[in-house]
Amino acid sequence: MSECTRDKRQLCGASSGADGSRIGSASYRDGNGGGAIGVARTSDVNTGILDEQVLVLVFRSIKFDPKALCTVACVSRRLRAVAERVLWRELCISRAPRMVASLTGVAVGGGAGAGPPPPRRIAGGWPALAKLLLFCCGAAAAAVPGHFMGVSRFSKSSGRSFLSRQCQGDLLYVSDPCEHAMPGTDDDVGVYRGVFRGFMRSRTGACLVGRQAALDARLRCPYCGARVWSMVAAGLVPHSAWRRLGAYEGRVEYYVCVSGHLHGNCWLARLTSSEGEHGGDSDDSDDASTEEDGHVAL
Amino acid sequence: MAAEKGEKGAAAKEVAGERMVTLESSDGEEFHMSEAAAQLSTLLRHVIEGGGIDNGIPLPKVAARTLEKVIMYCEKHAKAAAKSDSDPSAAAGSSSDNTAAASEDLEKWDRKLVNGLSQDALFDLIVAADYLVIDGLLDATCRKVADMMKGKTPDEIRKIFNILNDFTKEEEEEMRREYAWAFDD
Repeated sequence: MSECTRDKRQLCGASSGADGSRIGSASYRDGNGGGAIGVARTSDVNTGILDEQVLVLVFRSIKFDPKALCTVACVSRRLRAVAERVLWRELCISRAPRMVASLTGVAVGGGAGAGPPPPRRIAGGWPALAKLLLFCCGAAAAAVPGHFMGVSRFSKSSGRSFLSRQCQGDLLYVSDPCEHAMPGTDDDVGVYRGVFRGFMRSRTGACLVGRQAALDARLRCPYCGARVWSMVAAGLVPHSAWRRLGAYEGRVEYYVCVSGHLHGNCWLARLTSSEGEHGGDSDDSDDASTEEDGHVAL
Repeated sequence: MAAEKGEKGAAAKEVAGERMVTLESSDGEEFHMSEAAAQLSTLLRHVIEGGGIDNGIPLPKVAARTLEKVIMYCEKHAKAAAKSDSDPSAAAGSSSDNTAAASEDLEKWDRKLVNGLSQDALFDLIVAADYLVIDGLLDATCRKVADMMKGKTPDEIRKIFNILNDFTKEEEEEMRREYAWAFDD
């Protein structure tokens, strides 16, 4: 059984040394291919609380509570490895199964019963995606601090508004903006985040490379730490983006990192009674809510 | 024999009027449990319904000391279920106090069971409960471990579970910063 260090976490797809086919849960395991009942585990120092199966069962019982996960990931290398490879992934799947299925192209089983094997990896890693689902990163320029959110709605149709015309074929989920008051002004800052499917193979990615857009010198992705492109600097922010947000034109900025994580903010115009563009028309089947399973992370 | 084979589960025998099943642990020890208790395990229920095994049901994944606890749990819960089923006032719905008290007693019993286990035994029981698909037991054991971790710092968790800290000081600091976000309410 191999462990995944942080450097290799995106590449690590090794199975967990599972033993044999079983009735019941266990949809989390990649499996060695159904072994016969009775196949002994090879001598293994990772027993008890370090055993991946035990960890999944225990964390499943607390709905993969993110605070507990963050704590446990800091305990030892082994626990961090299991968290990065399995536990954060299960959190993402439990909070947003359709979105994860969409992003990885792998159908995710609902939990009970033998389903297809779960997706092994995601660009940027599972911990980053989990943080993206649950954490509003704030806006440093507007002195808005990041904060834990718990429940967010991510929408594909929202995402489409953020894609420039030649990139409309890309799949991008974007959250509803999280609104923060800006002291000293009448306006609010809207903070939002999102994620591309397969960013490095996307039209947007190709555009950025094609235009030789420079990576931002200073900024980093708040979710995975990778370098980012400013979409404003690259000229890839469509009008539909600020219309969708209900923001002031010219007051939208967002960044995309090499893993396909998007984060941004905007100045939100106060709505007059005659305007109702904020939110737009989203069709339910395009939306994924981290609340959709009724599991609210707190 | 023919009559018995027609019944569900050749492994089921009658003992003092109660149908029993024989189980064999990974270390070759034989255990008996009532069929009613075995029904709490979805796995065993399927095996029994499927005709069972003549010489008992082998459980190469479950060691004797773990199987012992599993049987204790199942027998206790099967008896409790039988008691509440046969309680006429329960049927009439007039003794909700009794049923509440009974289920509280059962929970106390469950807690006592898991509290009395060493950590190793507890983890083994988690794995066994998952394998045998005994939801209540899986729930009780996982909850115990979760409670042991709840609200603790990484260092406290290390102490409780005797886990070596193999991070360098710099790595520990980096991890702490990286994972502070879940606590930024």
